[in-house]
Amino acid sequence: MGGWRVVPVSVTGPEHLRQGTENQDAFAHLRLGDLTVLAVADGAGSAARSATGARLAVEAACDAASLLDGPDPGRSGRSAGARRYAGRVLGLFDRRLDRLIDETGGERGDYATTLLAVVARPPAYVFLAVGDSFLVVEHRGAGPHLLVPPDNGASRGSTVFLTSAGRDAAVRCGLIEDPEITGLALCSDGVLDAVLAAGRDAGGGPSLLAPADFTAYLHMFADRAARPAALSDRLQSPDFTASSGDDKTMVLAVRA
Amino acid sequence: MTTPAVGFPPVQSSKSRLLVTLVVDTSSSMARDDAIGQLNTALRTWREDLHADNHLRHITEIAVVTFGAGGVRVVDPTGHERAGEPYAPITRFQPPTLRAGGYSPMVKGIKDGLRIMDERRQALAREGVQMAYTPLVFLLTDGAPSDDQGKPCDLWRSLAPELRRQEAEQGLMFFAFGVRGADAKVLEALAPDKHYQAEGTDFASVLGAVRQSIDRVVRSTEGVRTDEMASRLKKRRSAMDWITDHARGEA
Repeated sequence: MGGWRVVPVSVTGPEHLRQGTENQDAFAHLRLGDLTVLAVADGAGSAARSATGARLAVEAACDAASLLDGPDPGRSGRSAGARRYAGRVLGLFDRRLDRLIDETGGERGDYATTLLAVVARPPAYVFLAVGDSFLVVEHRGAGPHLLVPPDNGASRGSTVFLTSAGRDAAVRCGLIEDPEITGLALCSDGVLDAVLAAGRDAGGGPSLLAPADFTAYLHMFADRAARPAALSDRLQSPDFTASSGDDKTMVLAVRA
Repeated sequence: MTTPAVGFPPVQSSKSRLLVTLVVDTSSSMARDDAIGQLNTALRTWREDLHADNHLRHITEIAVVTFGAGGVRVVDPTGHERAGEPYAPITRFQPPTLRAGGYSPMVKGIKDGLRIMDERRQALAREGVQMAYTPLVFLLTDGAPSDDQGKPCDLWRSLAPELRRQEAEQGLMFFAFGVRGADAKVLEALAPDKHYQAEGTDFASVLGAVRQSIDRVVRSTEGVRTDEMASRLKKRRSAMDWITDHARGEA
């Protein structure tokens, strides 16, 4: 993929392996002109068809990116574009889900999934997030930064999904412009405990942060000789699986 | 943090917890047939069993409250004879050797168990650490509640609705497990759908039921957070079914 080396890895969590159920995470990446689209979705463990919902979500994130293809509209245009992209993704997801429900049955909640998507055209990055997946960016000289933290809603028990009634109020989307971003890591919450650290926000309250050594995940794959299988092995290692029984997905993108 | 694979950073420490609180009867009746000895042995086996589970070892903290010898005591879970933190991670949990004596102030023991659990939950929240699963409180007893003077008391009657309220509002699950001699009426009132009584003084079976209950909560709700879990659990088989399965050896 021109300009970026993308390393996507998703492994089935130990609980789903034990139960014989499928991986309910999904990921996708796409090059579209000078755009690079990256997406991760985490199907809700409690929803019967969430793996399908997650797949619909990442496909919508990729398909909607055509909206952003074309001549650079300038900063104000890019900001408006971020909002229009979010609307297009949600609209595509809803229409496709409605059609699927008409054809195969089920209810919206059966397809519950989060979504995190980034459309990269350096130095501009459009992001869209619903739910508890998270985005870490690597900044040249400043290291890793948790740019989009996981959103667990009002409490950890109230994660908002693409299928939730209150979804539109929980959508986070925006535009980042930074020529010094050298890496992106889109992660499902299955890896949260293993890769993020507890810290304090500016007001002294508890918050999550990307520790300095998070950089290693991205630096490793700046070397084209590094095998994606090494990350897969890591996500299935005993200490990672001990951290969470959930499915684990990381989509890493490193400026080539 | 654990040792990293080559090239990757170590896994970060856990930012979510499972709190398990044991409220244990150590009154003088526990000396009969060496029930207290069986309990001590069963606790050590239980600890090893939990320690062997990667996920539970990563997230679980345990506290032990006793009622009987010495009144109501929050025992140092690391096995030291000093007042330490009420909760310890499994890796530091060393079941203390309990001794039997005194009366059975069960209700105060349960209330103290609920209190330390709530304090720990709040302390963790201040550190940004959330509950991975609904906190679990287990009563283990061979008798019936008494007051501080050893007289039977019925304070448990008013405790029962308080437990239901806390289960609904505070997000906890309360289990009442007993061996021979335990007052079945009290167990049922305190935990209508989560009580179990073993034969004889088989504390190994009782601690097995505790482990089974922990397992079922964790396994049945993986990836589902606490608020959502409450509604899911209502749709699932009751905890009593799990315990019955365990007692029958079918689980």
